[in-house]
Amino acid sequence: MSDPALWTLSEAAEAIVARRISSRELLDACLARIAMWQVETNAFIDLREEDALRAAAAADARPARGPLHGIPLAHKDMFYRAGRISTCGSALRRDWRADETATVLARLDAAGAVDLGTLNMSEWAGGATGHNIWFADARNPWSSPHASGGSSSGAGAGVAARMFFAALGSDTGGSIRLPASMCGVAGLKPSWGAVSRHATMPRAWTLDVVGPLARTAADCALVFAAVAGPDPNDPSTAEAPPFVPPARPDSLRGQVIGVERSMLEAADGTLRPALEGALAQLRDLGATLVDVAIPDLHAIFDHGGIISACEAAAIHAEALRDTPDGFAPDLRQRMLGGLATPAVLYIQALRLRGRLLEAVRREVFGRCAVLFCPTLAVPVPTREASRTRTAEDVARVHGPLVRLTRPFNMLGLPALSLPCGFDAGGLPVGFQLVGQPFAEAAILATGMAYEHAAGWHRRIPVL
Amino acid sequence: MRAEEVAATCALLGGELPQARAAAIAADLAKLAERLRRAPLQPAIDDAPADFVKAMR
Repeated sequence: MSDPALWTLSEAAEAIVARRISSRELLDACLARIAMWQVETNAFIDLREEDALRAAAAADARPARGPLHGIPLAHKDMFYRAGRISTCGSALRRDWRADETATVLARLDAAGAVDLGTLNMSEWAGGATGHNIWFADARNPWSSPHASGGSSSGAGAGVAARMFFAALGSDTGGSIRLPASMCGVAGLKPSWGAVSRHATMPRAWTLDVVGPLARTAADCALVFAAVAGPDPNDPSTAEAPPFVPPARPDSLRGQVIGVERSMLEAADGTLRPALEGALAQLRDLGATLVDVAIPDLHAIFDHGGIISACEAAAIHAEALRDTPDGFAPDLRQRMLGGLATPAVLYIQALRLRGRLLEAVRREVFGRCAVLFCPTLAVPVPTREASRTRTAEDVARVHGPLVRLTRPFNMLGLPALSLPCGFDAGGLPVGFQLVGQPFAEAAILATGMAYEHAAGWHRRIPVL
Repeated sequence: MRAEEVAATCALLGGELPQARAAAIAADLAKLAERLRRAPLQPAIDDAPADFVKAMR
């Protein structure tokens, strides 16, 4: 493959270390892709070409410090960088400048990565589709009338269009995994507490995690390794274990993968051939598949929704009162609903979280190392069909989209979304591999074996 | 919870809800609370939010 922008991050990293290519050459290749794809996808909010050129020159002047050295990345516009604007997808922050830098960005800088700029996102990370009335919708590179998925919408669209090698997103109910699935790329939602959220925009503290979207599970592992681990500025990371990217296993012989049958059966019929194909591939690799059932799945979903609604309402209560017109009408109406939720419902959800997780660890992960389920139960919607104007629209459109992702935020478990083919309309289909708390290495290793055999990451959208 | 109570709670915190929206939220909350009351797993006296961190270990 002659265009280096089409390499995986792992391939680009090897080439940089071996000095077969410079960071500047990789950056030029990405800028050429951005020139081709930005109008089509609207992935960037702020492309910082001059900053990136300086960073690439600096990287080329130093010996490689690790696998991200000199690699062009870009990130959802909610990771603060001191002195620069972080819009968070909101009109209220169109000119807002942070006074400190997110730990995750500082760690990527230290690893030598090149920051290309900030990416489109759903307003305040509050949507599953990628619509944004202030900065315009991100669009799916496989079909621009279709939704990119959200809330890390520009991250999904831009990684899929090969505009950069990976991106950081955030996930409160599916916001990494949904755009990853809808755009046909890999997305890792880490365990709660695995990655610092210092100086990043909060959506719902109890559920928020930061993680990568990239072209492959192997690429996700490299980015995750750079940002994971304890951060004194974010006490939720105090127990985060060290992470080393796993080697790709040659087979999955001896591994038991649990199939969450109710989630698989919830998937629309148009998605089932791709999902069944993924299961067949995992079986061919030697894995043993067993049916498992997540206990109290509906309650897990409901409690997660309560926490998400209440914490978002609390975060934005002052702005909802003082600058209501600064919110999209449907988002404002939805957040106001959170203000009216009884406090005891919220507290009960927090109190039950540990017991729900204990039951899942016992009844699911007592029988398997990794859990398989679809990422989405429905086909990728068009932007028109999924545009929301009222809170009722939001419930109708977004509820089905997060049905299979939100439970793992409530449970705090790591979940990797990987592409497994296309539906009859030519839109990507994805599945999740879910692990025990802090078992990112296990799901990434399984994903690496799968993607090596299946090869879906080699499919690239064309203009 | 009645629509008036939803609107009043929201107003207490500075938010303004149209009557129709307050009614819809009240109906949703009633359904949600009923579902959760019927769920097999209920919190016990000693369950605390911090138990989640222990469950993650």
